[in-house]
Amino acid sequence: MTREGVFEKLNQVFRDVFDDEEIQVNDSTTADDIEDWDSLEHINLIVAVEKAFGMKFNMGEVTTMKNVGEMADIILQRM
Amino acid sequence: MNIISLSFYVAVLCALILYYVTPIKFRWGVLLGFSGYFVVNANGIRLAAYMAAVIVCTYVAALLTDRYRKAPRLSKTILIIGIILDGVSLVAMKELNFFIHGARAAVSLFGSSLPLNPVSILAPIGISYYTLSLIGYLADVYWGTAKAERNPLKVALFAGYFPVLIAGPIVRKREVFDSLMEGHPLEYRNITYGLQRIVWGFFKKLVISERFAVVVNTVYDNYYVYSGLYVWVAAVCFLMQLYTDFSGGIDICLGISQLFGIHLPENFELPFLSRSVSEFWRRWHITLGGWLRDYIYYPMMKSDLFQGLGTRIKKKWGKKAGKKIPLYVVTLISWFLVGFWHGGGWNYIFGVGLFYGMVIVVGQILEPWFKRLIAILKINTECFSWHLFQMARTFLVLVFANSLFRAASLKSGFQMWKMAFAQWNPWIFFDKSLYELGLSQTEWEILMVSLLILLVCGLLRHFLKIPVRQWLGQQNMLFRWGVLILLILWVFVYGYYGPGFDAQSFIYFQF
Repeated sequence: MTREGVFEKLNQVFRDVFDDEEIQVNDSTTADDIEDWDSLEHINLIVAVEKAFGMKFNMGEVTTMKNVGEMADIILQRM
Repeated sequence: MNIISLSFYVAVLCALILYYVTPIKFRWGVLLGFSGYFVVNANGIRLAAYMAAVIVCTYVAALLTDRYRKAPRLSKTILIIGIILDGVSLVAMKELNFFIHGARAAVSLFGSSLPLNPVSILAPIGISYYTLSLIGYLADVYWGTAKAERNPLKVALFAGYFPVLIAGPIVRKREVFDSLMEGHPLEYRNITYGLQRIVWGFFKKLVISERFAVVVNTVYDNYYVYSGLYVWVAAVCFLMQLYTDFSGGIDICLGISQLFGIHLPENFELPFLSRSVSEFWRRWHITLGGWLRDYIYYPMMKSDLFQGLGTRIKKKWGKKAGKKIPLYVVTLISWFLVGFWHGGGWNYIFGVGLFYGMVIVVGQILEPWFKRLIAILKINTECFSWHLFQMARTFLVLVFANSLFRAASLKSGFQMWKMAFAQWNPWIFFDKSLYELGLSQTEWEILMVSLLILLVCGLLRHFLKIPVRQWLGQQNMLFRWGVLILLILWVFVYGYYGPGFDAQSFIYFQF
């Protein structure tokens, strides 16, 4: 899968988790850019991404990931 | 060791001189030596040995967790043993009475009594901070986000760095370890910024917090004679006392650390500007909130147990319930633990723990209704007045929760609030009744002017988006020094200190 493909799929996951069809993520998107993305919802998002891509993040990655770009990098490494 | 005493600062000065004359490579050794001296001086040799034993156990557990990384089950078992050892070392010292009271209450339900009495244990200084740092270190090693340190003395310095033992913050290896070990050259800015921060901490603690404490102690120690707005005044005063006491203590710790060139993580970021309880905990005791999120909340939410629970609920009650219910349960458990960390009494567990969890959960449940109501009433949520309303609402929640934290027990805390609504006595603001709470009119005036200074500096920080010290550093020398000298004079003239002053009254010293 290409990086563009990963982002396309990530957009779908984000829209589904946060119930917002207008979300468009890119490399620099962080929790500050999406209203409902707070620490309470973070794990729901992570699990949804894991299911969509059939991979797992380890807890170290979950706690240190800084933006969606880093998330995409990890997904690409695991595929 | 009293951190508002001349002897402490003479010792720090000696440590500073020794630090900067020692070759850079060995400077961490000076910090370790002074931290060891600080711990033995504060705790005595026995408790210092207890602390050292916990550090050694964690050091070994981290090395083994790392060594057996390729055998995940063994590595995880070692991690769990290490965390349990650390956790038990904290609970045994701090929360034992919670279990003793619980066991006594349980046995009394069956009509008998347990020959077990609450115990009084003097815990090692900073135990709640260094234990959490050590647990975090173990988890980081297991997750691969930190390396296992091979030198036990360096782990000892990471856990027992003396400014952190005073009142936090809770540190993580990746944030401070390199800075602690690498040794820093003497820099003018570190010394001036460090000293300014210490003075600012003194201002908050000695001028503001100690005055609020007088009013708070008068009302809380005799809560049964006060009602109506007296309770509200005391509760607001306690919240301000707690903030200036705790953040003042942190300012002093961070300032001392900066003298050595070491920047510790910030623990406060203008918390009263928070528009929700969740936001408040991202601005207040930041390192505790972050620790809780990364080492308790996220791992629990991601565990098979709660993911499985979510799947089962989803099948029965739908997608939204499957997503939200585990989140609520984990939120409440996490907040219970925050309260428990503060102390083994229900006033702590509820007042600085469960209550916040309940507010967050109820807020989440009611959110769709709030959104609908806002749409019906056509409220503009993107304007100052709405933000102000949200801040005021959050402030009220904090006033209530923290008053329970201060009360002698949860029962007396609720009694106080019953009394708060029993009488409407606004005249206390006009008939000089407030001057009978231990502070004279002049003392109240000094307090209010000092609070105004704090507010102005807070607003400057908010609008400038840089620390006020940095902004002050950009001003002309006359203005810069004028402000600093005025502040020092203000602390000297109006601060509560000297013989008879008990600096052990720092509220977060006990944690």
